[in-house]
Amino acid sequence: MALLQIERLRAGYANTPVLRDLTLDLEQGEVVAVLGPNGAGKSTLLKAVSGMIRPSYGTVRLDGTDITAMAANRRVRHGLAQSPEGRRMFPYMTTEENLRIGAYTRRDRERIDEDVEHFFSLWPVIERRRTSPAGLLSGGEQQIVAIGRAVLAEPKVLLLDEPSLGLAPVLIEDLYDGLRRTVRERHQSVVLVEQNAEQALKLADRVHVLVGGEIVHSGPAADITAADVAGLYFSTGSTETHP
Amino acid sequence: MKLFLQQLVNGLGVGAQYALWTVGYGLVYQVLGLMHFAHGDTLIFATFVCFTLVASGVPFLLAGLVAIAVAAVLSVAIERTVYRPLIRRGEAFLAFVAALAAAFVIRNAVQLIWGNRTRVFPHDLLPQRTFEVAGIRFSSMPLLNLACALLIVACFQQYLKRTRSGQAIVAVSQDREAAAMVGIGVNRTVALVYALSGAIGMVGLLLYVASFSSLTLGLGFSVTLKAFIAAIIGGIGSVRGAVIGGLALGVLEAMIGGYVSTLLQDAIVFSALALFLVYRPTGFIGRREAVKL
Repeated sequence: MALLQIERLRAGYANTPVLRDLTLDLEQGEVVAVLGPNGAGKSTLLKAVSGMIRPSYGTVRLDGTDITAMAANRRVRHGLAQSPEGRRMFPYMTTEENLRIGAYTRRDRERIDEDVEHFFSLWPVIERRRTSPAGLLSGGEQQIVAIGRAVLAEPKVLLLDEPSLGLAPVLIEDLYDGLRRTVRERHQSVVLVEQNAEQALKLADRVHVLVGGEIVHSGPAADITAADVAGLYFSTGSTETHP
Repeated sequence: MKLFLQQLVNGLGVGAQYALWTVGYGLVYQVLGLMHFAHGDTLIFATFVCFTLVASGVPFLLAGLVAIAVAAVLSVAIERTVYRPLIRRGEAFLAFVAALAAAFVIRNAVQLIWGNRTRVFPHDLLPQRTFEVAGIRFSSMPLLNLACALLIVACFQQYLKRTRSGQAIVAVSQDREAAAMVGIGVNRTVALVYALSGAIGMVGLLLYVASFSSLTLGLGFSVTLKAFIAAIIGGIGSVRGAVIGGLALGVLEAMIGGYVSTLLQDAIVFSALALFLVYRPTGFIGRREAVKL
């Protein structure tokens, strides 16, 4: 049985469905990328999975438990953590406090300390800003901390919402190197939502292309190129896509 | 000089009480963006409970603990029944109006139970003596107030900084949704904020009755107003701001009382408030955007 099962998920705002009966699985240890242009419904998908919005139809199962109607904060206890759209740092808390609050649902203090030190050993540039307010970090640093914060929850499934959005190319490279390391070290299962196909395809095992709220392509990440994906963004005649 | 020092000490003593009233008030604002206008009347209700206990022979410190518990529970009850349903529907302004309504309901309840009379506590609730420094007579009470307030605020700051539930409060006050995303129960945390705001504010009122002995129905609105003014002067939404605002307000009032006239106290204080709202809406050390009702 898949670790995360999303079945016929329908969600959206008022009378505009953003997701149309979307079905998607994630196996243990797998990285699944959901690629799509702006407005394809990628963020809506992640929000429905993490509990920030309620789907109008369909189910979400995590490790066999139906979590479709569960409150967002309780899903974290069940093993779901996310790095949200826009990073959502606690701007007046320090960098370290932002990381530590990610471990809010854990009680193993010593291992939390180790994990925090491990994070800082991987990112010495951020370590230097350890005690300064996270709001003062650069966009890229905030993104890295946001992911670190989610990983600190030791989730079964890590949800990443457009980690490369708004970052300089060189930072995107660093960020994805870090992600690759985390996935390898922790055998982390990940649902990655991205517009930037190139990086996502290098990290992912499987890929779904989402256009206009529907999956228009699914398959192994190795079988498709970023150019193919970009082609799919524009070839499908959805009104909700724009270049 | 003598008058100045005396008024300074008295002002700091009263300001210490204001600071305690303001810490919780400001925290509620920070967490919910809501002016908690039932704050003072909630505390007054608990103070009347304390009065009844003291009048029937219960030691002041014990009665004070009961009052702290009553203030905490009542604060949470108001949040649950009045604020939360409205805030959930996004009715921030209605919640503010409902806060005023709740204040009146509580005040009328106090009036029904305890009547309109001014109640007088015994004068020896806390040990007190006067002493002379360089020919100036001081009472120990303002200093006790100040010490209590600073100790409580220091503990509270450490609590926010070092404990899991304290950090949850800080997180919820900065981004409720992001707080839920890391697993924090936002509703429980908000309830905790109300309980703490009631409890800490209550300590301020216990110091008030120990200092001034008299308790009137109208004190409730006055508490809310002082907390409101001190919060704005100090910078709303920060514990340090609440303390600075409370002490500044206390000293300002004492100086006006000593050098101008107690009759003009309110006029000058409110002018100062207006000036702050216009020229420095974030207060002395506020970091947030300007205050909204």
